[in-house]
Amino acid sequence: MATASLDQLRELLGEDFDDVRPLGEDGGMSRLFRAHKRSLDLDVVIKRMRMDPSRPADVRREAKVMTSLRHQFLPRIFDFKTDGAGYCYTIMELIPGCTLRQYVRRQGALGQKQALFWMRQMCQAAEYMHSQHPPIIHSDIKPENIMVTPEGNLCLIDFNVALELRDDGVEAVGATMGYAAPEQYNIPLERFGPVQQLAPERRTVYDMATAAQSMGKVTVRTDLYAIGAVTYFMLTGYDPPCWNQPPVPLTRFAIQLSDPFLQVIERCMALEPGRRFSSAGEVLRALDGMAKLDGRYKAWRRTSQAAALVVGAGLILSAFAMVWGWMLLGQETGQSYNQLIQEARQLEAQMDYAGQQEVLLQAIGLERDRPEAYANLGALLYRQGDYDQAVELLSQVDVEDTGTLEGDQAAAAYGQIQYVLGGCYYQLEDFAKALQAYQLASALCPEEPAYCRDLAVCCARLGYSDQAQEALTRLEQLAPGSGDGDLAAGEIAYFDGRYEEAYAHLEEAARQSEDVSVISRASLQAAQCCQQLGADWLDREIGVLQSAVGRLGVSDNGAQLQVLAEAWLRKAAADPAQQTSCWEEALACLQELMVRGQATFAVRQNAALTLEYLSRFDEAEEVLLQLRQDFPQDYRPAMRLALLYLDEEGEKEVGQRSYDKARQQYDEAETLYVAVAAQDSDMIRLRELMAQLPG
Amino acid sequence: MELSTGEMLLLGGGIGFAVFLLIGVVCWAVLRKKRRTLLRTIEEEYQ
Repeated sequence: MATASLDQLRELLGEDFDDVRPLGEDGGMSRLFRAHKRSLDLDVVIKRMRMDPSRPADVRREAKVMTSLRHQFLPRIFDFKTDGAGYCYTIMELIPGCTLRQYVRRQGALGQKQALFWMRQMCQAAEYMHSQHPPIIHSDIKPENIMVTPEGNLCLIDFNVALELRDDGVEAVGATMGYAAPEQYNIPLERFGPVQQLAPERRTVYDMATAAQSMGKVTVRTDLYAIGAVTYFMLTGYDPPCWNQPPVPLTRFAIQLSDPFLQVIERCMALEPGRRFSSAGEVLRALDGMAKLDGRYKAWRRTSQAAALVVGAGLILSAFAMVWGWMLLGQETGQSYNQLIQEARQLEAQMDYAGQQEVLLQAIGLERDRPEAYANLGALLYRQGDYDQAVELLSQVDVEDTGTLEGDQAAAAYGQIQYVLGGCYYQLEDFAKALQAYQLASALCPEEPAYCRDLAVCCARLGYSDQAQEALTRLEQLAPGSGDGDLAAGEIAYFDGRYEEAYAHLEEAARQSEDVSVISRASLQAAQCCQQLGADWLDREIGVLQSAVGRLGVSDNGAQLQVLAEAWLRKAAADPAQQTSCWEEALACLQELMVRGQATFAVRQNAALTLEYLSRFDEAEEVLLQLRQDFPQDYRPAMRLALLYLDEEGEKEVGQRSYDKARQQYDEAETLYVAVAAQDSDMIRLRELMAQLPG
Repeated sequence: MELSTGEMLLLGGGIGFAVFLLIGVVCWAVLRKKRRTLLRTIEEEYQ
């Protein structure tokens, strides 16, 4: 370069720069100088270029943009100057090292790792430039414009053809064969002039421009093409063929190249811009995600998906089976429950009450939410007189929880439970709770006459006359002439002490009603009226009870038989002339109960006593011995045996009497009696008799 | 002990669910480890 121009340059740069000298050969479009910037103590490169005289403002603006760039893979541009001779000077950081082309020429083609490493850096630099406002497109990325620093990084230099992207694209200024994207040749054909007059080299460019007419304008994707081409060069050591030439795929070269990387490079170098990546950032993401494009990773993903499918299907099927099983189980449980209820009913008809109770308990254990078993078992316990146990059982039932029953069914079931509960409380003389239960039963089943009837009776029992009368009126409307009204009226009269009136109603109810429970209750209550009215009413008591025993079935007349037996015994005591026949009648009732298995302690004791009265000592002894065996802690069987033996010995001759057995039983009775608090007149009598015995 | 259809389905379904769940957990752990190893291997080839 002429010294004069060097002096001009020094003058232009000013005193901040010294050691200004040319750098390298004179380039086609530019000339490079080197200098030392004193203020930064830094070596710089000064690039001189001829300005487009038609665009001085553009040049200044672009210069301003370039000076604002700051990136580790881009050289720092410090300043931009122009002289009056139509040249512009770019002052930039001097990047030490060699160009990429020099590097590859020396080292040979690069391996995949190194190429990938540097491709990332190029993309990062491009991403930075493209992210400026407006985006800056380098448009001349090639191995000569890439420096390899001593640290092993790249630096993208030479922005002399860098363009600002406005609107949809710009017209390219320069292009390097093999590295320039097709759209960089999209030049208006009019510029070439008459085709026939074109020189051969210009004709080539004209043909390329013609082919590129459909490729659109230069955009950020143009740089991506060049980056792909540079990577091609790094991997092969050869320049890629120009886009309008037959391609030489990378697979033709004996290089180790993974499919994902190959796909990325090929996409970068797609001829149509629309088929390339849309941005450098997208290229970077593709590079980062290459591992996931690897065939081995894809195989892993297929395996994972298959495993997930199998496990998922297994879980869903299993869950479905569980749900289906749960639903079936509910149905089966319900069916089993219904079968148990049916079985309980059959056992009740066979009078196997122990079996019935066991089956009902099983049903309750099966489904605690359903009320039917509770209702049936409660009724059974009530009939057996186990009121406390019935209350304990039925109190567990939650009226709010209707289980599987709905509407009228639920009301009927729970109404029955409350009704039985009311009956138990009534027998236990807890009339307030009985009233509560009857009220609930009547509310649940307002059409049920029995509930209304017992509610009336309970109200009367508690002295709530108005409520009792109201219930009675409702009862008459529900079941006129059915016997329920007479039963209720009889019980109300009984509580009022009007025994004769009560007897009349109750006897009528026991005689007329077809309802088993009405006949049963009316007859027993009528018997109580007779007992209140005295010995003159004994025959009527016996009459009403005998009638009820006949009208009620074997399964329902147990209580009547028991009371009838007691009535016969009272008649025997009251009428000595008919004593024996009365005792026979009483014994018949008691033995009937014992045969049925319905004999309570009192029934058996009375049977033994009656047998003793009839001088049937052996039979009496048999009953009492069995009673003692069944109730070993009760003193009464021993006491009765002692009295029996005394009675029996008393009928013998004096010399033949032996009181050993009596003494033995007396001793046992005394031992057990000590624990009893209440006084027993029979025990007192026995003591007196034993005290009178000789020896 | 005789099981009803519902009990068999419920029990079988429950066992199946537990087994598949266990298989799923084991597969997940094994595949996750394999994925990490595989990605590391591949990335080392690329890095």
